[in-house]
Amino acid sequence: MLEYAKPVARLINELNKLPGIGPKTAQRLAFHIINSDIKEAEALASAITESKKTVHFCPVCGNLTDLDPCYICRNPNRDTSIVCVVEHPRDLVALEKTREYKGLYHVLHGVISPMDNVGPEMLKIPQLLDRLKDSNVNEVVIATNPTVEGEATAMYLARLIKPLEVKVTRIAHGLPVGGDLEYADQDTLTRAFEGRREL
Amino acid sequence: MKLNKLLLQNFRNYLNLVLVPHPNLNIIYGRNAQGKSNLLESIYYLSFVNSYRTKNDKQIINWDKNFFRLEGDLERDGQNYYIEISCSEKNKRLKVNRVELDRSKYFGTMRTVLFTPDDIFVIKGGPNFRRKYLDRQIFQIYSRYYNIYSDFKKVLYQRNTLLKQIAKGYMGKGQLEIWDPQYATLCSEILKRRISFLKKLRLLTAKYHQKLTDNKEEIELQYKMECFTLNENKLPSPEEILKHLNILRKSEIEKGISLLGPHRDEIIINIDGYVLRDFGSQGQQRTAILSLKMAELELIKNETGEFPVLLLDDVMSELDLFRQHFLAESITANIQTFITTTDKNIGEKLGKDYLGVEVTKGNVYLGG
Repeated sequence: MLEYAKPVARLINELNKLPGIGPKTAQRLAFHIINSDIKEAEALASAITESKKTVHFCPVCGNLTDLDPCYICRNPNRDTSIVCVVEHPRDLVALEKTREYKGLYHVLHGVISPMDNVGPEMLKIPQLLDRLKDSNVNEVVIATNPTVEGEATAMYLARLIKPLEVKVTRIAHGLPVGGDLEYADQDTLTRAFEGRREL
Repeated sequence: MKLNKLLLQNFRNYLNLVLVPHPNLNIIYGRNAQGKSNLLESIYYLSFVNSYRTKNDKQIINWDKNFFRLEGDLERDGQNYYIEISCSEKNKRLKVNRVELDRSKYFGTMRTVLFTPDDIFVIKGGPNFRRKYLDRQIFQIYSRYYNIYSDFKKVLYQRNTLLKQIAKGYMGKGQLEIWDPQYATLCSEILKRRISFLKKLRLLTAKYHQKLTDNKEEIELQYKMECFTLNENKLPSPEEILKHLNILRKSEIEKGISLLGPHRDEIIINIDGYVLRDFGSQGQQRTAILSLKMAELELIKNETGEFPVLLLDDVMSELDLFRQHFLAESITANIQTFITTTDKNIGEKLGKDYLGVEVTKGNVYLGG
């Protein structure tokens, strides 16, 4: 990149590696950073390095955290009798934003997929089983994505957990709230129909 | 269903072409290697988002360009739809009335029936040709079938990988149990749709075949599963398929592939009780494929209320006079048809109002 001074080129190059950032956005961000106050640039740099140094997986639930255990696991107001299993930390964030669910979580960090060579032992499934033994958990909600791999993982967990005499549930599939029937795709509509309930 | 306008850009040897077809009969003639079939291919592509001649989109893009575009002004159920496909080496975009859609939603917007000399493989070729023949029609009519089918392919691929891993001892047998319920459900869904479709197709094929053979021959389509005795009136439930998978488990692991499922099923075509593929004469096979195609045309009409666009790629030369005549008679005024031929006079022979399209090296001249 001869058009840029060397440090600028380096910055653009680094930003370009981030997901969702193309060369144009990278250039725009780089110029913004260079034009901003040195304090702001330092704050950004330290935020990046600090988070990288301190954030790790919670030893209990697998969520991203800087504390041991994480702020959800250590919160005394949460309902410890229910655990919700999700694929990724970002799914946990989505559920947390509803502010409806007050139980605990467990993050698998992936789904079972033989063609990607991901077996159950590569996910945080043994940790989940350890957690369930000798605990007061009486329900596990499986909230993996409604893909073929997500369903297979849900099936695997159900088979594994049921013998422990813990109730296993699966989140419902169906129509988006506030949506229009006419715009729903047929697959979603069919599943919503299958999951109908009595009023 | 009528295509009122067709636009091609950088599609094979057409750099820029706008064609306003005849609402009924379009005869595309010209010498060999001028681009007659390319024109039919473009109409087929608008309908199926792939080509029947190649799997590689790169081959379709004009040599000197890096993308192609197709546009069509379609009239369906009295409404107009503007459909567009643009395809570069990297991506493909589909639009209906300027709104971008993914493939599963785009499918079925424009329905076509294609008839080429290669269709003889539906009779002569392996079982995959016959499965494809059936599935392609179901895709056009029930768009949900496309989703079920692609889910099935994903599960099948995962399951086959797993079977190989189990055979090598990397994984335990128990892992199959988490894929089998989904697998069995999808198998039974596909089977349900295929059989209900085949039952309708069977009656229509028989009707046309009797007409074509003067009631002398009887054609019969039979659906056969490899490791399962099928009763068409009592299709196996997912539970029964699961049970059967358990029986097959050992040999599935040994072979490293899924042995039971729609990807292994066969549609056997019998004439008067013997298998057409093995014992039929050339002439019988050609008559049968004509019956199958005519049935396909009518079935789509019955299920959707409108005739699809009919594409005949150089098939007239393959048929004798009687069958040529039969086909021509069947192309009634409400079926928009595109015929490619080297015989300029075929339009006169068919005795209908038509648009003649002469093709020379990717250029089109409208004639008589």
